[in-house]
Amino acid sequence: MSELLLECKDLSFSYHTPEGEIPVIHNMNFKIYKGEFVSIVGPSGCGKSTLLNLLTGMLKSEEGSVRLSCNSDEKSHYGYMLQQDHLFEWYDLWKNICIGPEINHCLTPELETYLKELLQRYGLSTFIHKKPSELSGGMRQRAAIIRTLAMKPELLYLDEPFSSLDYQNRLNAANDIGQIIRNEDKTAVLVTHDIGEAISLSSRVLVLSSRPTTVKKEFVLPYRSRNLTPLEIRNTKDFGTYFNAIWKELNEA
Amino acid sequence: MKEKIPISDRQKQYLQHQIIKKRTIQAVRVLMLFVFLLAWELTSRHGIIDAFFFSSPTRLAECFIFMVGENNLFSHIGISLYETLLSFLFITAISIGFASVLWRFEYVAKVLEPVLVILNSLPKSALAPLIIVWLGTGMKTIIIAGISVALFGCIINLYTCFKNTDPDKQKLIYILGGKKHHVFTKVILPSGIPTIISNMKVNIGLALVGVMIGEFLAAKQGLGYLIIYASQVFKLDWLILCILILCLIAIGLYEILHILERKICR
Repeated sequence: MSELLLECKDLSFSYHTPEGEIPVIHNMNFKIYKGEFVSIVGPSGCGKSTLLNLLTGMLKSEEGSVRLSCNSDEKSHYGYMLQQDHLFEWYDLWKNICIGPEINHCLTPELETYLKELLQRYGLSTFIHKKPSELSGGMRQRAAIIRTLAMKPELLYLDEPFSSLDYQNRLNAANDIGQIIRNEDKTAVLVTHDIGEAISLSSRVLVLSSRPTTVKKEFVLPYRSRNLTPLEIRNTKDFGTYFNAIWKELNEA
Repeated sequence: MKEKIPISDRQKQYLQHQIIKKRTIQAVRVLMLFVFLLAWELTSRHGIIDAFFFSSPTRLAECFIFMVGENNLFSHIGISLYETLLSFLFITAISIGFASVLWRFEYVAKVLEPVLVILNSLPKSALAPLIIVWLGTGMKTIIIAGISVALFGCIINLYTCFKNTDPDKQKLIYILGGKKHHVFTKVILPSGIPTIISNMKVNIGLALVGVMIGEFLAAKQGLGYLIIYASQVFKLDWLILCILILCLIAIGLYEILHILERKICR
């Protein structure tokens, strides 16, 4: 078994409002190992984004713990891709990508070379001085993941990063991002409500129950070892079987 | 280097059509002005309107030459412009600074919200006599009158803009290890620039209004002073000329900001 990277233990969380307490997460337990791509799917409004906020430390858990064991320095423990790419229109592509290292004063010439390599590898090097509005939806997503990788995180959190794209761009972007994460040998946690996306990208899928949510079922998928691209995975025979099984679980959630 | 794409005949026709449309609009505008001036001149000469009350373009031209020579018109214009620009700069700087503080300290913003709303809705011309009593007559009073007209509204607008900046964009900076000041410099301020500039465009006009109020009440120089003086001695040529000059100043200042906006928000 590979190295444990993240452990979520007996995690519980409620929102407190003047109208009353809203329990969102109840007694959640799971582990993420290095090199895995884990998708978290759950019914709409079950608290997936809240869970990500707890995992990243942006919200403090009320009970239980989230433990991240990383070797890298503290700032680059994790990277986070939000529901939209949020590239800043007031900067060009290069400045957008360098924003993390710039904030942390760690934009070294080596890192610049690494970033330029990433841009080259993922077909963005000719657009380095373009504004985000001049890039296509897929390019913007690739730029967003390179911006996330610029901090050299061990673990990537992806919060429905393709939900703002149309279907065709969504498939392409998921394919690209999946391959980038695999090529760069990163561990990733994807939160999504798209079952197809979860199966095509992941080595493991956690199905959450409705609110207050907890891990209801876990599916271990065989595709990652077969070295298939996310688009190829969608064409495999057992894709439909997994899809139906997860769909069934979600509907009973 | 961008490769030049050959333009088709239809595209050429389209572009030609666009240019003609634009030029026609400009020509009609000039024609309208010309017809207006001509009608004004003729009706005034033939006694259809009273030249004493309504003046005429030639009377205004003569008046302009006379005032430049005898009344130091340019120095009056210069003073009003100087006061307006200074008020405008103060409004811009103070409002950005204050709105930033309110954004940084939400608690302060909540406490001060009713005060700002009251100060904003107060008719500022009612404040002017009080400012004169406190500060006396002179440029300081006029500039403060100019500032008071636009400042509070501008603070409220900018603070609302800062506060409503996309929370996910702010979150992104925190995720990347940034602090609140990074959020401000990398997200809040750059995304607020269009709002800041559109507020500046409104403020330049308001500053001019404030300066005129101040000059009506507490000045011995400036276009506002000339307007009040002319109305008291019934020199309506002077008065109309000053109003026309104010129009030109307002257009000029607005145009400068418009150019600035195009350069920054391109």
